[in-house]
Amino acid sequence: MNESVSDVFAALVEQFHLGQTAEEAGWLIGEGLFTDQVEGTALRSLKAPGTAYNDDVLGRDPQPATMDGYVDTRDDNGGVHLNSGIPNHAFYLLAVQLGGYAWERAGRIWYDAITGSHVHTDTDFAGFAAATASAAESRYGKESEELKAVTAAWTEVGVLE
Amino acid sequence: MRIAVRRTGGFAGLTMRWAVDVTQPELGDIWMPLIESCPWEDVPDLANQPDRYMYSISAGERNATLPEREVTGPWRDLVDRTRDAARHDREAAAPLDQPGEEQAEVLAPERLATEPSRPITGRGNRLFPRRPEESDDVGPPQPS
Repeated sequence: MNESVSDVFAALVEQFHLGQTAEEAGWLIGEGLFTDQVEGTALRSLKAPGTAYNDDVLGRDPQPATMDGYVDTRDDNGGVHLNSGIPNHAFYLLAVQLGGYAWERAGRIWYDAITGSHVHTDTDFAGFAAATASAAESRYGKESEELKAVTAAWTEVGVLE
Repeated sequence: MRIAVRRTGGFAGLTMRWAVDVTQPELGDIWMPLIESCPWEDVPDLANQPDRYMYSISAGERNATLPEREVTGPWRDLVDRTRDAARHDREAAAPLDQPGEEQAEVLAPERLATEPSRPITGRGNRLFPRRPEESDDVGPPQPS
């Protein structure tokens, strides 16, 4: 979750800076970091985890987009940069579902979640999903489009059933 | 004997691999003392350190997985020697052979001279380009 939140707010900062809507944004992390000798566009993609690079030396971007691809490993300190693809993609789905500038509603919900009382150092994906649902409900209401979209996003990536 | 290092993690989350196949007399003279000085059976189980590296090291049948801050002393020597040897092999083989699957592992260090868990600054390399504002060019000659 730590790595995912980092990516989400990095993407939001970039989109704010460039004045991009969720539809216009590239949703890439580290775009342009590689030289042209590497087959890849970026380190990670929130829009399509697992597609940022496919290189003979680096291998293929190993990120899953849904819980079906969750990686249980000691590599990468427990796959923190691998499995972050799942909550990353949930955020992307929420932002695109709501449309417009991602920082205005989707980002606000994520920010409310991490600054609220439901997220702790040991919060897992399901706990974070619940925190974002609670944040959406508090800010936008029980019947809101925002709460429905949050629930739908986490369901699509397989964190909520 | 095959000696291999796989490094995962770092803030970029990129996986790098280095491997060498070592034969006698080099194996006995240089590598075995180093391999045997590593505490393979005494690897601490430390809390995760997200954004730092995790190393998987193997030498023949032996293997160990350890976090970056434990890669010190003989472990550090073994990792560095493996990486340097892999790089050397790659340079020796380059004019003759097209890089294949196996050699691609060995090709890695040439393409990643900068450690990606550290700030990307300085001269740049083949993986990460030089940042223009950090040019170390001295600039145009100054009028004397």
